[in-house]
Amino acid sequence: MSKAKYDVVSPLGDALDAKDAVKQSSSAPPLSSLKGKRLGLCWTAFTNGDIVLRLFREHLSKRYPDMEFIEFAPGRGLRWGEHPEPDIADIVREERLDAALITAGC
Amino acid sequence: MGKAEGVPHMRLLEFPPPNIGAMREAELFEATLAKVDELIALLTQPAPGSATETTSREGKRVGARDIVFSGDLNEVNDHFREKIWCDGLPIVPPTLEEVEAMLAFTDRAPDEVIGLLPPTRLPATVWKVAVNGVMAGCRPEYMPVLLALADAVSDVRFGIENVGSTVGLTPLIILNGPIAKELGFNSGQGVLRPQAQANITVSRFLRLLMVNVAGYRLGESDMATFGRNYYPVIAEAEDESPWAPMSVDRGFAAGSNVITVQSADTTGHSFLTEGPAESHLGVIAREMTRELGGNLLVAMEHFGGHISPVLGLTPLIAGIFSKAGFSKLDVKRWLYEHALVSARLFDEQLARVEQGYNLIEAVKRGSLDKRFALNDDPERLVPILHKPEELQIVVCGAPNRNRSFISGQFGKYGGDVSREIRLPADWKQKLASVKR
Repeated sequence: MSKAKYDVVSPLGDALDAKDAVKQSSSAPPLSSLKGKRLGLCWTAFTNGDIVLRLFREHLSKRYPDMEFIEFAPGRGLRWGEHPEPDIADIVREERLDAALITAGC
Repeated sequence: MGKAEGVPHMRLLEFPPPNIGAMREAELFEATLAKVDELIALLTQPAPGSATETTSREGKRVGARDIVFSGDLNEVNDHFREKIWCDGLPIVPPTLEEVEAMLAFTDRAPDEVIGLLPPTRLPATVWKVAVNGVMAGCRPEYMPVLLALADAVSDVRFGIENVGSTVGLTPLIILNGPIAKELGFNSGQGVLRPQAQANITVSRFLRLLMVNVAGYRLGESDMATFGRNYYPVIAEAEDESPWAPMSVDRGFAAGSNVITVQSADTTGHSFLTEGPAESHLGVIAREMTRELGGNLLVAMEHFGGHISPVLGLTPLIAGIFSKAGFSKLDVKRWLYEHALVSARLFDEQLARVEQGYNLIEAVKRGSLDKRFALNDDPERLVPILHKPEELQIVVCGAPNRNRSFISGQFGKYGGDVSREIRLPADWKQKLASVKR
């Protein structure tokens, strides 16, 4: 006895079904070098993230003695588990950051 | 998360296992030293993948009605499992005939977009809702419920993009209104057991929607540490309840068909209570403290400043409260005042989230009521809810059993959202045509 055959359709969502489905920003362009740059260090309060940032600061300082580091303790609109708040761009401008290192995960 | 926020090519530096939180400082020193070159490269080179980024889709578009696979039942199921288009259980093959049968139970156009579902931000159309409903084993007449559910989870307050967090939250769905009976939902004995077709398949539909439209895949976008299987929909036992249904508490007119969805950590154990009303309340308060006191979400602003835990009461216990003169709000107020934990537990957790932060500071900032800082004794007792009304009570389960459960909720990680269910114009006739 032959088994019944089924012709099936796709269950997957399709971006072309909605005009506004795609929301995309470009990643920031790369820095030419880290020499003399200002790097933000943002600890999001996940365990040991502060230590990781301090160690990277130490390692990078040895290679780039003129690098500057700006520390952000949890709290300044940069709370654990939170999406970047709208004023994060203001903070970056205010501190004249070239890039930032953010710890994440748990 | 990066994709959900429109930044698909983030500069990510991943540490090998174990989690950095489990490493000692000497190990962290070695691990970071080994990663310095990679870190420098990330900052001084284009973000990985961005160089090959394209704005147009490659390949031929698969139309909604296009046949993507043909085979017998086993072959279809093997194909869907291989593609991770299902949850591992066998699916009902979504043929055009089955999908169209679902569409007969809505007046909405198949290409209408119900909402965009992060992290993929792909659109949940009426058609895709029908397809995934068929696969889940839903009957065609469930379609209005499925559409309302899809609409609810596409609400930004639900925060579907957080479903894949390490917490591994699972949606909890609660149904009110006459449609529960019309569609055969179980509201009574074993309400959270899979047996009644409506309760379990509607819930399964939501999981499939999350897999196929929101794009959740274990280890890729779904990073649940443990996760849980979907809970059957809880239909409230409105006829057996002494109070107005939960949907009325949420602002809907009595008799409305309403679906509510939110996150659940777990539906806790079914605990026994006895004696007069205050005795039941005392045990429920203790269990609330145990179930909700550990997460301390009430004080954590980044979870959104609002939680909505659910207390499930059987008709027997709800009746005991009612006969003793307690309205539903009276019960909530009593539990708010008696389900208390030491402020020290909050303060220890808050200090971890933000240096120098504690309940007193939270009250000063206005994120918590002054009830949380009546004095500065670290052992003072404080509530585990922002206010009594946050506790949601649903009457369900075996009518004559003296057991209850508490379901924790994760604030804006699966925030509570309700939708009124829109029925097609000729609902009664359509329903009568499929009654078996």
